[in-house]
Amino acid sequence: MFVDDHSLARALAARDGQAFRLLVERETSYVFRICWRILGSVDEAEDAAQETFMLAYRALGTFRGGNPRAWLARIAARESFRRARARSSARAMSTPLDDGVVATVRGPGDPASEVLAAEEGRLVRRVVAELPEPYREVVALRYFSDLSLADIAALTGRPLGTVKAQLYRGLDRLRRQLEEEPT
Amino acid sequence: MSSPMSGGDRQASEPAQDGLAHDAAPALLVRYTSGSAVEPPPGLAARIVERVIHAPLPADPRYFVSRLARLDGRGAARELRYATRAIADRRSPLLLRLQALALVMVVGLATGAIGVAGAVTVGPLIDDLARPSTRQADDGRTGPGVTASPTPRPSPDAPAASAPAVSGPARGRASDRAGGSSDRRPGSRASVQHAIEQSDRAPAVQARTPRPEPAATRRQSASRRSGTTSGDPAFGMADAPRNADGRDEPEPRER
Repeated sequence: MFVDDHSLARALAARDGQAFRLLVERETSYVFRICWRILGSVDEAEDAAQETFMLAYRALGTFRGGNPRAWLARIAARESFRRARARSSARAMSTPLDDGVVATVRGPGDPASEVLAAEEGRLVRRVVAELPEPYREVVALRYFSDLSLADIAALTGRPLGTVKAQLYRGLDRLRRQLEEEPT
Repeated sequence: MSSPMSGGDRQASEPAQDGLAHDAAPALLVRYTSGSAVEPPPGLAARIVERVIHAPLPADPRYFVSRLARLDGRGAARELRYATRAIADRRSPLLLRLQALALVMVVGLATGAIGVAGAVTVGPLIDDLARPSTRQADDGRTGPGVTASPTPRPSPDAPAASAPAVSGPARGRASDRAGGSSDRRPGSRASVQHAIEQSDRAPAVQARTPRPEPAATRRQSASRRSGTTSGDPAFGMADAPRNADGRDEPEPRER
């Protein structure tokens, strides 16, 4: 029925319910992964993924074609960062340790490396969430959503050079923040 | 999908002068994302589809009301924006557009009604604050010994010949006199009020004007001169004979 992204995008722009159902079935894993990478909690990621699709459904009128996956990724990143910000300060960007370990699919390894990986993940989530806009959005879309720079440029409506510069500066700020972190 | 390390990361891979290498941050991010290959809980897609199917239409007023109930101003504004956009979107279903139109109209009318009510309520207060002399005169009118009368306020354009000029500092006392003296004629009160307003208009001129004798005192003096006093007849004081000192004359003794 919808053989490619273009036809799916056209159907979505026409508020086709069948097209939206297909989009949900196709992109749920992708959206959930983005939410989990930003929030670090399975439960919160599930809620954020549901809310992402709800927001997308309501904002179908604003979808003007393009890559529906990138469009969803942006909504998911925004919603996840909003939820991360809304957390209480005590729980800010911290995850129950076992939640992160269970959700991370790894090969059979020693528990110490899993704990270290979970700790590292928590650090990454926190420093990315502390980045100012627009660096945070570009970094999240690039690394957490696996979008290409051209996709980000098309999605955000910025020139490709601007997106590159923002990514560079965002990574530079990230590096500085990591340097300031106590090891 | 391209690899996360390709593309714009070339700039970031330059060696740093100090501290961490420039590619340390991208490397950390890549390590994190490659290690977080999570799968969604089973049935999540079906739950989302179910939720979307049963969700109200995108421009449903319930969204706006729920945002208002949560005192989420930004969210309410966003819902209103959605509704406005839905009205203009020709691709939207007719029902959705009608709902959006109704919501925008109700919000507009409510905002207008609140604005008009606020103007009606606050306007006279501001007017009163801007006219302190009138307010003080009102205070004096409702003072002790005065009954409320529907006497209209004198127009500022009315002739001021019937009232003596009252200087600025004597305004409060004048109003007291208007309310508490034996002269309770509405015409007198109006004339005092008018004099107060006149004094507000030209305070510099009237500040030099000598304070006139109050009306009651004037009448008392006149009665002293004539040997009579004009008191309240209800208390038996009307036209009581007095001598030149103002004391009551002794009644003639019977022989």
